[in-house]
Amino acid sequence: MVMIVNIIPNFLSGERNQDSEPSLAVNPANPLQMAASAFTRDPMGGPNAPIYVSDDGGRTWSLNSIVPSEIDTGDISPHFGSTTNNLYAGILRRPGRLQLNVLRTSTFLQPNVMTVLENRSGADQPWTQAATVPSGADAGKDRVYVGNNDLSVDSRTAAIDLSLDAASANPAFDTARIERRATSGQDGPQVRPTIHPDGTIYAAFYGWRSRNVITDLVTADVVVVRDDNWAAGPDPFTALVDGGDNVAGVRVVRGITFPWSNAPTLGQERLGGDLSIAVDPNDSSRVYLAWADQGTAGYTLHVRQSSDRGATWGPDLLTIANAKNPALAISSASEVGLLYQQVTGTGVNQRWETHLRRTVDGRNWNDLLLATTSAAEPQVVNLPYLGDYAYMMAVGDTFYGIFSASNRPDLDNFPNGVSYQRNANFITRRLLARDRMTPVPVSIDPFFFRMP
Amino acid sequence: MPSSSQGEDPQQESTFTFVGTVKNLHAATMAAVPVTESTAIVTVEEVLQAPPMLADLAGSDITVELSSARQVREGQQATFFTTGWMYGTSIAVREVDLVEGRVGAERAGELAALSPATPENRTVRLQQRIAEADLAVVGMVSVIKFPEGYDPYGSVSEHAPKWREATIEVQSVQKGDLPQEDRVTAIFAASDDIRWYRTPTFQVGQKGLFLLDRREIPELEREEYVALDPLDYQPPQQLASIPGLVGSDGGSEEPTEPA
Repeated sequence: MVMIVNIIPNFLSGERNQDSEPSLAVNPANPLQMAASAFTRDPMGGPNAPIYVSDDGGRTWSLNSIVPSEIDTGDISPHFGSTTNNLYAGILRRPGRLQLNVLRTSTFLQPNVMTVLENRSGADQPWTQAATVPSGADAGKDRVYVGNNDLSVDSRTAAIDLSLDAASANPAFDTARIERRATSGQDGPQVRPTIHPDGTIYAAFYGWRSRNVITDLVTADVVVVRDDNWAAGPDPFTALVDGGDNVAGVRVVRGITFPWSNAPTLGQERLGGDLSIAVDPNDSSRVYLAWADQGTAGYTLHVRQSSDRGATWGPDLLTIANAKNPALAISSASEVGLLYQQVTGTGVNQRWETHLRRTVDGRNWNDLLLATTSAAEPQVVNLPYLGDYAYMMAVGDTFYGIFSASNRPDLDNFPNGVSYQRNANFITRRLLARDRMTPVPVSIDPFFFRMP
Repeated sequence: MPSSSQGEDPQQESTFTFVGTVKNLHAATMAAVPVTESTAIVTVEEVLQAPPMLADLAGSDITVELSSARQVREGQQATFFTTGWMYGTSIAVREVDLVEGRVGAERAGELAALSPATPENRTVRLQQRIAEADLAVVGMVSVIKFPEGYDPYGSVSEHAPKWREATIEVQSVQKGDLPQEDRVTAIFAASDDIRWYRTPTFQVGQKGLFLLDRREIPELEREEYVALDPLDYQPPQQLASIPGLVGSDGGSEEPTEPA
């Protein structure tokens, strides 16, 4: 039985913002504790940006303004260490342009502002993953990996900022360059690491090979790199070599194209590539990858698997047209989950459908519809409309995820149920302010889910 | 905890200021707030400064995290200067300063003018913006193009500003000196990305008041006039209400369609 919760707090029932691009962190040491992020501003316009927090397994959420960024952040991506209760986050800080900060707190429910661990400029779309070393000489150390597109350098921009001891008083960060081929001038903003407890780390990115400035179509390779020892060695992420050119980083697919639209293109959302990668916690050789490209049926998601540590990849296990925001996760039962959002229908009847699909064998997938909401309501205010990504992770045998969607309180939009903290009348299908009387316009909200 | 630098007025940090009475010490109004020696329940009696969504809190109990040096007692009335902390079934705020009793009428009026989205606040912020701007002109946009030397097809991020240059035919100069006779160029961001969508965008034929600053544009490696504050464009129908605007005829005409 899935649980879906609109995480806007009741006290903010009057809010009408486009709270898009959500991300989620669940504390593996205590899965009742969670932190979520979105493009949500501090309601009082104060000096710190907020994150959403829960300590009851996601049933209830509050907003906690502890992120050192004025009013709101650019991109933000949180993740807990495995056993230390430390919450890390990579953000684009305000004020600033592409000002990357990596943050940490051990008290995310308290008013203490997060500590800045790293501060540098020029990095886009930070994507944070963290793990605690389970055994050996470095047991107990938190390792943090923040994928980013480092536009402060020329051409080979895919990067991972990493710390091998992020819980220490003054952790050092290095930047690992993971693109080793010529590009069209840069790589894509999506750089996605994933960590296995044995120290195997995979990362996926789009290597941009050419860009047609007239059609705004990018031609790229989908590249997967791997490190076998926490990226602690002198030449990280070089363990996986492509047999075609003997360069580090297997090109899972070559020469795919996708639009770089940066304008409302699909269901009022912009397009520019989508990526997700996940490793089986029971077998670091087994890894799943999802990416988007422009197919004959439109903007299309693909899902593939490797069983030999990324050296070779099978055919498409899933192919989904008009879909984006894939989020892969693999549970302790080796069940694979895929979250994605897909546009269906035409014209004013278009819908954004949010799906959760799961498989244990990679071939037979079930399909749970989490939400089906209008793609036309509300009217887009800014981009991204729903987000350049959504997120899902697994702790134990449970999937935890988050997506953004139109928030009209209509049970037809949530066929597997939903609960709202903000005031909502599901009979009149209207949002209501804190006074429970004043109507509030429909907007975009983040929705948390847990399965089972 | 309050983070104002030594010597700066902590009250300037406040985004939510109210008169209230301490109801309970070492307490909180919602379970999500960890109760400590610094947390107190305060009954809001009068809101002096708040965003619109939170301006109706008179009569409500909220949680205040008092600054470490603060000594208060139950039943004490004070004016609390605060910033937001936690929002759930109730709200919790961080105190940055506190004044015994209610502040005087003059100070209360100043605080009211700081509340976002009120007419007083809009006037005050606009006056501040005009005072800060390097150049203020009334005129009309005649040309939109890529700035000289700007590569629109260079490296991109989804947060790229999409720089454009507007040529403004100046009708009157309200502040500053024109770099050339009767016109000025200004850089603006044409992007709808979350980073830029609040900044002004222009189109040919657009008339009004333009507030410009001289800024370094990294992609152009030079200084240009820019319009990057949400207040940097005021349409013609607003000009008559702007105090101190001199000799402009921008009060009633709508922008004409570009040729």
